[in-house]
Amino acid sequence: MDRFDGLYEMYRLPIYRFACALTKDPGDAEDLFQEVWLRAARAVRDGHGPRPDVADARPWLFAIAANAHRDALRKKRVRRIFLLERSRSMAAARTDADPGWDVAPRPAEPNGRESDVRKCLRRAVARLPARERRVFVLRDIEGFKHAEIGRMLGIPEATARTLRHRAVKRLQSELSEFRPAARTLAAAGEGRP
Amino acid sequence: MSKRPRCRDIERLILEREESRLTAGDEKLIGDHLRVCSRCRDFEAALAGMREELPGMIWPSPPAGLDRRVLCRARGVLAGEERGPGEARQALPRPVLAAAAALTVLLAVWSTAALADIGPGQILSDLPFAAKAALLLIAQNALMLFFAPVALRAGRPWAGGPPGGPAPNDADKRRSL
Repeated sequence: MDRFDGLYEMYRLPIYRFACALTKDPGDAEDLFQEVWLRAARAVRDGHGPRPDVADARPWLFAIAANAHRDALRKKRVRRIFLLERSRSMAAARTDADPGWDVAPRPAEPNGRESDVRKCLRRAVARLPARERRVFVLRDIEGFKHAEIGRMLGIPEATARTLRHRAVKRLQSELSEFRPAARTLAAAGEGRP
Repeated sequence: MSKRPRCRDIERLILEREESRLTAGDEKLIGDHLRVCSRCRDFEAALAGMREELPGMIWPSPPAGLDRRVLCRARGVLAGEERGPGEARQALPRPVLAAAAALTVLLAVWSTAALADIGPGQILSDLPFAAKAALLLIAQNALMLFFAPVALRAGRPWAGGPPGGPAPNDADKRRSL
């Protein structure tokens, strides 16, 4: 139990951050966070946990989180079949809204508010398709390599690269308003070489 | 003369450059392409912008009470107080499953026979008791299938914490409705 507590203490913040980045509202993030640690506890109990050297635990926990997120989305999809209209209107409302995370002010930003570009980036990441979002967050926020991401998500490394490329392209167009050069480019309809 | 690289290939090389060292040839390819392609220059600038902004993004901390709730449940699992999915399935004895299957088959046969006499234009009050009962049974099963996922979700073990533990949070309550 001490080992599990050690893991929890060490990785609770990264896993919660990952849950927030993957989900669109705090309730979903809490559910996902809870599910990750329950799955981890079951694995440790059944002897399927990571090796005692704790460095091994990080990809293991993130893989659990990514799988739990995929399972949660699958369950949601089944529920949507029954409650089609309601969930459609709710999803549309949520997509346009700012992810309602309770963000604590940080001393680096005196007014305690995120800059517009960061807010927009956060919203754009939340709007990415789930597979692309998982890969983007694992690579660009958590710093895993494509090969590690492939192993964690059970996909080929090349697929991880393709998904990230697509994610970056989407974010590039979503954030074009913050790059004057991109605005000029879009207005002029400048072509490729 | 070598074929001019597509923007897509250059973008992928730019992404690859973050993780591993490219060959001198690839670096030259990127440099030559970026000199003439404003879209790829924009892609590179967008990527650099994201890399700059992402570390400064503010992420929330787990809300008060979540750690206690999660650790309480996890310790319960570690102490063997929660059964795994395989154990839960084994808990239902086979004779009970066989009896339930037999009852389902009998009810299906009986319902088919009871509904066979219904003709077109017949109203509900004219139907014999057996046909009414069969219709009621079908309606009840349909409703149960429709609402079972919601009911099961409301009763999930980790929604409300362990027995005697903290009350479910608002998000859990909202979701279980």
